[in-house]
Amino acid sequence: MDGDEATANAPTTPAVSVRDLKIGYGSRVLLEGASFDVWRGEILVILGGSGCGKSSLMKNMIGLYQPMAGDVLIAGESIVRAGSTQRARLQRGLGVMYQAGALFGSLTVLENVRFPLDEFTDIGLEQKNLIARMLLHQVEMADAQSLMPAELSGGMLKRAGIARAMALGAEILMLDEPSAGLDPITAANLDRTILGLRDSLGLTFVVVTHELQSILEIADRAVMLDADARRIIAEGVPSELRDRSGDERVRQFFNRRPDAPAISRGS
Amino acid sequence: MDVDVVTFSLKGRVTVHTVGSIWAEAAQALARNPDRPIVIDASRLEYIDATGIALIYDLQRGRRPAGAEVEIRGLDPSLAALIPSYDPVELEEPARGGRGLGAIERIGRATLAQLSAAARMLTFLADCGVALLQAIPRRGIIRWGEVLSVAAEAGANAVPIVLLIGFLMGVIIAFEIGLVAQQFGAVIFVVDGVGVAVLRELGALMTAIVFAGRTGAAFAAQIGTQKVNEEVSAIVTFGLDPLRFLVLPRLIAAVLVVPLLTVLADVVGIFGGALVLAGFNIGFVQFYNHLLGAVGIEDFLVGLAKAAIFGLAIAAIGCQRGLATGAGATSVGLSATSAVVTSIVWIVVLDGLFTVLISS
Repeated sequence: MDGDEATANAPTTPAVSVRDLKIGYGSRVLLEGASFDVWRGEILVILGGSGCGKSSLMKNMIGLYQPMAGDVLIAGESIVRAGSTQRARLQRGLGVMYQAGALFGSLTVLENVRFPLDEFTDIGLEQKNLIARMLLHQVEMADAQSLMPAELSGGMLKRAGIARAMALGAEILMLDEPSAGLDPITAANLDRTILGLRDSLGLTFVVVTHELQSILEIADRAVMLDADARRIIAEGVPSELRDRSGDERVRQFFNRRPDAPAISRGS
Repeated sequence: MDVDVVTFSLKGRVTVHTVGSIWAEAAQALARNPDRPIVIDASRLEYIDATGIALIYDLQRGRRPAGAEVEIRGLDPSLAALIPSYDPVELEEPARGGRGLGAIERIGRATLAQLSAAARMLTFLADCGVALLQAIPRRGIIRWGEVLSVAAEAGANAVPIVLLIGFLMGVIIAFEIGLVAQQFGAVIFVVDGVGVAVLRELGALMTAIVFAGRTGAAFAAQIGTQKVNEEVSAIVTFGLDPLRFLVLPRLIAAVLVVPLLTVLADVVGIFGGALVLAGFNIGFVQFYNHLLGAVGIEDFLVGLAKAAIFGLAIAAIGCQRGLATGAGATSVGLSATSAVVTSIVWIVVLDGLFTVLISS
């Protein structure tokens, strides 16, 4: 169902493929039977109300947590069943931005962005600094390069986190709530940056968010989770989901109307 | 085309893993030909990532004399659009620090920093004293439940390590002094040495050092983490006093618990000494009788008084460092370290003051 528009100029292997995934903590199941593909050059948004397992799904997709059942393929290779060396190699191909940026507190912003380059490349220091500064410029953080993470606001931490996620030239970027807590202008700029990176470099994005405006702006496709149903309740183009979804919960979410007649309660 | 033109070609995929050597080569080519025009042929470039963009940007922005410009040819327009056009000045590292400081200025600043740290500590102690005085006459102000739980964690759970260290300390002193005293046939006076040393000095001192490492650091880390998580701000905005809420229970618990631990350290320390002296042919009964003559109740009480003051100092320093924590995980670690180091320094300083005051 998701291949039609994307297969035109994409290779046949999806960038990320989630197969019948079951995730949870201990005996508590968050999500069952989740299957979807992310195609190269696509921006896929995982959305849903608070606590429905969006971030946990992402952490399972990047091999940080072991799912209860099912599989996740990165460019055709299973990250779930991979050995530790192979998993590390697959993970290096992913750029991940965590909810709060997850910058290293003992390094400056510039050093944080340079960190993956220091670890994995033989590029000279001057050049690495230039790359890091350009990445920071891309997320409008060039002025903050010599600050420590403790001196940054929440939005700045996120943007620096995105710059660091891009540093190793990952072709698949996973962003956990990139625009939550940002002011509208910065959030719009960030959306533009994401679209620009996709259009020019052909990067693939998996974005976890519940910012409606951002979803409608950037998402090619959306996968919607629901905490009560514990499964994917909708998948498709966001504007179509908003206008034509047969599911009351989906229309409620997109139209921000928790009080509309509902099958189950809104987020 | 001009014969003098140097051509450098970029081809295939330029990514983070290949850009290092390409960059070095290109920089060499530019440096070798400082006054010839350079053409970078990018027509066979298939893919560049962010590092490739930085490479092309870097090659373009170099300040070169007229007639020796760098020209990039054949770059795909979609890739060309990625090359930023902003002012390179924005990318320079901001100058930091200004002028260096002279030796005298550095000494002055360091002295001022130490003085102001001492002043902050004294202010903090005064604030704690005021908070305590306000709390005593009113019921329900001091959170006794919290005092008990801190006392259990800092006191009861520290019993095994205090027993171990106290016992070994008694053994070691008795043995070291015993070996020397044996040569003069004065082994019986080792009882005096062990008694006075353990009761007046070492019991309290060693307990305090264990307490500083175990509990002072924990206080700083707990309160520091609460500060980082803005829990302290939440307490303040509820109109509550963090001193009363976080600090007083810890101070009270420490003042109660360190003397109690010291009693344990005293007992096992002397027992350790007695055990060693049994090996020097001084029986337990003889040891006991001689000990009663050698030390008095005042020696024991001096040790306890010291212990209470050490406990107060350690808890105050730990809490103050915790509340002074900056932001981030690193500063919590720094606070904990600083709490332990400062506590140990102050334990020794206070011990010195005590000894001089009591002797004079």
